[in-house]
Amino acid sequence: MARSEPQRPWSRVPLAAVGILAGALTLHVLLHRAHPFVSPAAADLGPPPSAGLVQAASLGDPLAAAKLLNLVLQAHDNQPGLSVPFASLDYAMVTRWLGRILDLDPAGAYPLLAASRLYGEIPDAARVRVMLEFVHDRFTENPSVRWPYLAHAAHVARHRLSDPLLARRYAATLRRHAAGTTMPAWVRQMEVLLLADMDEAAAARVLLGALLDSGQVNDPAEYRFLLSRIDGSFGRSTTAPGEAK
Amino acid sequence: MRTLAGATLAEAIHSRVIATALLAAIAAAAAGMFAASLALTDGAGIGAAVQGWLARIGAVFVLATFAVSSVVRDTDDKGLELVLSMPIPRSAYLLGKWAGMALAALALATLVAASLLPHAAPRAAAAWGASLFLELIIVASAGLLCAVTFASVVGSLAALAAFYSLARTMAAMIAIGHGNVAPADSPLFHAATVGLHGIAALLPRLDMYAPTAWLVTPGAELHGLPNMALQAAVYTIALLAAAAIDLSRKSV
Repeated sequence: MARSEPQRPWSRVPLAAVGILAGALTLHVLLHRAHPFVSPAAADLGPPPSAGLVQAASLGDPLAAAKLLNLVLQAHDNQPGLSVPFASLDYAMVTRWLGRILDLDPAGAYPLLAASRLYGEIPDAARVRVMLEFVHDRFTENPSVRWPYLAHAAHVARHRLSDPLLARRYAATLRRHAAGTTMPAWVRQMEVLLLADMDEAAAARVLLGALLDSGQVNDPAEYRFLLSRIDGSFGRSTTAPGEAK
Repeated sequence: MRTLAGATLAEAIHSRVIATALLAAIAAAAAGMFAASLALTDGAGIGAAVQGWLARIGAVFVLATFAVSSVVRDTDDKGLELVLSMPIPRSAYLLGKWAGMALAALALATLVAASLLPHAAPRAAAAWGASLFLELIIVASAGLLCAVTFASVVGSLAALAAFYSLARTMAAMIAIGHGNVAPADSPLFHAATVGLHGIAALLPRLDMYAPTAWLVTPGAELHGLPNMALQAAVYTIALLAAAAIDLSRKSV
């Protein structure tokens, strides 16, 4: 790369070297296939690393480390060779991870999205409540950014948990912290929406549709993820605003 | 070839490769002792893990830097021209350099494994050291190829760092890429996944080498060593063959 000297022709390359390279590479690929990456073995989710450790390990750039920790936590759900059901996870530990990531990256939305729409959507009311409370507890730190997740939490509380009191508590929190934020009007009226006699699917469409229409979802992946939740086509290809078909 | 191997080993000693590795091993041991002293329990395990991890990184860095700088220096100082002017095949130069680096790798692995004896059982430390030696052999061979190809210390070390990082983290990347929230139906994601698997197939499984579990788990099974040796041998041959091809095209 650093030299621009002319090279000798390929005819000067010993055929034996080419043959050895081809043979060794072929053998290597065969060996690779004999030892695939996938090796089913579920492991418990341990506690998250401390903020100080992350700070040191990231060489003073904890934000980058926080982004990686998102993937580490996500990767734990999908360990090599098996998909660990969310319901079998230690949710107290998951909450600690999400909290630590949020501490390191307060502007990041990933932990709240994961809490409200991944870990909070399992058929286990106790675990769902843990996630909803996490979203609720962390909402007040940054209402302008985090309102979509608490709005969804209110929806889940009303329709999945059938706990109108909890849903109204979340909606009231939203309303109380709406002043001085960019929170759209419909969020402030969540209480009304929750009190209306709507079925779950209709309410979800209203909630998600309003969120997508608000233009506050700028990340194409998040847009697709949310859209797939509306039409029930989780995993199907959809096109986000600004993306070419 | 034997002369070149001896000269390369002597160069490693004069370049303070062994001395630097010794200092790195001492620093790693100190860090391990510090970590162990902080632990409420399992101090030996924590000490061994910290020390082993740091010492391995240190040994890899020292040997990689030496492998690259040695070959680039040969090119810059016209030593390579001198050797190739002799009635020996170009591959003899490569094999001589490689053999010298392998001896240096053996010295480093032995030194690091010996430094772990206070924390780990002798059998575990020996097996871990053997595995580290195989890892170092692959790193030295890759360094040789990079240096012959790029003929620049910076370019070669950057390529080598990318190779090493990818080979060590590929298993984690593949696992993340198979998550159930991954956009599996996206053509771009599918192409990226296929590309990732393709790259993975061409890389050695360095994440299997010198595993910390061998040091910290009493009675850990050490049966992976023959597989590592086979893979290291095959991959080293491939790297050396590629380096031979590149060297045979150099108009030196």
